[in-house]
Amino acid sequence: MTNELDSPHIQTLVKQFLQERFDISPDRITDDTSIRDLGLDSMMMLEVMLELEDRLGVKLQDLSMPGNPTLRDVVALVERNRG
Amino acid sequence: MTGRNRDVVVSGLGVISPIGLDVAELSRSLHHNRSGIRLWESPLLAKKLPAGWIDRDFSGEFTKLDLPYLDRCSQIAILAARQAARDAGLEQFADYGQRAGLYYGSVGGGVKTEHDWVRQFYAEQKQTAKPYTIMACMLNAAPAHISIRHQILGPVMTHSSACTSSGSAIGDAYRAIRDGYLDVALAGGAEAALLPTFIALWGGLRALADADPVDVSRSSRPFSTKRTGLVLGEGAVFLLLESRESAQQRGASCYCALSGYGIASDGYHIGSPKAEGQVAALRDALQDAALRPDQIDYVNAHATATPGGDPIEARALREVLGNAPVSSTKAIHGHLLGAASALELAAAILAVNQSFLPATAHLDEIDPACALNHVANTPVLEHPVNHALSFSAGFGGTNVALIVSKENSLPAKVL
Repeated sequence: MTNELDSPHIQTLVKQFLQERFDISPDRITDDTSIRDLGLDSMMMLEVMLELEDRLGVKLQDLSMPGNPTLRDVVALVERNRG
Repeated sequence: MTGRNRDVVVSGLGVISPIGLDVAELSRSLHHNRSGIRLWESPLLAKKLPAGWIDRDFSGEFTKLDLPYLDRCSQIAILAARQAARDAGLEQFADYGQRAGLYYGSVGGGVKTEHDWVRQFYAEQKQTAKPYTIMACMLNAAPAHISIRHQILGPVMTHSSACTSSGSAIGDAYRAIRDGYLDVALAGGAEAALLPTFIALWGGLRALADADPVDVSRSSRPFSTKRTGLVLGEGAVFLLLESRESAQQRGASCYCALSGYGIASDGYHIGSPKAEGQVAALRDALQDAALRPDQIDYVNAHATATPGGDPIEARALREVLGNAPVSSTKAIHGHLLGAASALELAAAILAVNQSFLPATAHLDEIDPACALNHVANTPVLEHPVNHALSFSAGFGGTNVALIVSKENSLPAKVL
């Protein structure tokens, strides 16, 4: 499980899901790209987090993030939650 | 009655319906009595049924960032509202501030989204819905999206009074403009509920028509001795209403004036209509338009083709409007529930604008209990219509009549 939660893997999962769900090309996403830059709102971001829970098989206890999080913030949140 | 301050005109129409995906196609279908009733089926229902369904997926009109919030009902409402605004030469309403409004009617709202979630809950044991589900299925989702897209910053209202939902929405928008609260309003309704769960709900009432064994497109038969019940349909229709002064200042053309609105409730039964309430709504509209019954040149009836409903309505229409020519275009588009009044008013608007009488299709044998001056089977073309009335009656007992009249001081819209 620890391997599945490393940063590159989480980044890949997020990018994959953003493409599948919202047609957002992975080329547009860097560590510092904010969700607002991608056209996502807070509810879409919530879906991203719930999807990550499903795909990683973890329960994210602490969903606190900055108001307009970047991919780096998302990865940090998952890592923070892996206990 | 409030004082009549300003006249109201219809300067835009938007249509997504079983008989046309824009106003020009709707007009052609009405002129040629082209039916949009087709066989509908679901693997979950044993019986195949006739329905006025639109064989088109509209999700391609939206981005994947839009779609999570957009039930099919919202999709078609957004598209029809955009058509109506563009038809009037307007796209954005921010400059009107709170003097632009949106009045919308629907029965079910985001029915597919809601029913999908119920299935996920019961059958898949999901404990929580997707984040957007609540906002995609709420009844006022569609008008909220329209107001956001077009920057309609005044009242954004949702009416739900069963089959009169969009009629009362249009009527209240008309009053708001007439009485000086608004300069411009989008008004209409939408319904997209052709799902096995929703059809089965209606099945419980034993009110749905059987498919015609020879030609399914002839399954909706208002006023006919052969009628077997109503045929459900889906669609969205919007009108762009504005004060005559507003249209004049913009140099806009218009289809007609919206000249009268009557509303009355039966106070009688949750599912059975009463002629007295219908009579009251019809008289209310005539009084509002300051017209005599003999001045109405065309009536688009509610007439859902149920055995019990049509004769009661025919009695009310006879009592108030005497010998006025009557048809029910539900014979070709079915019953659009929350969008029914708006679509049928659009037919009345086109009757005035295009000078013709739409017909009741498949009316070979008129039920004597529904005796009226029927426009049966064949539309009457090149027939001047100065005033047309559209009537709707809903479960719960709300009745709405709207009157449209030829507009002489503004250029007429040409399709």
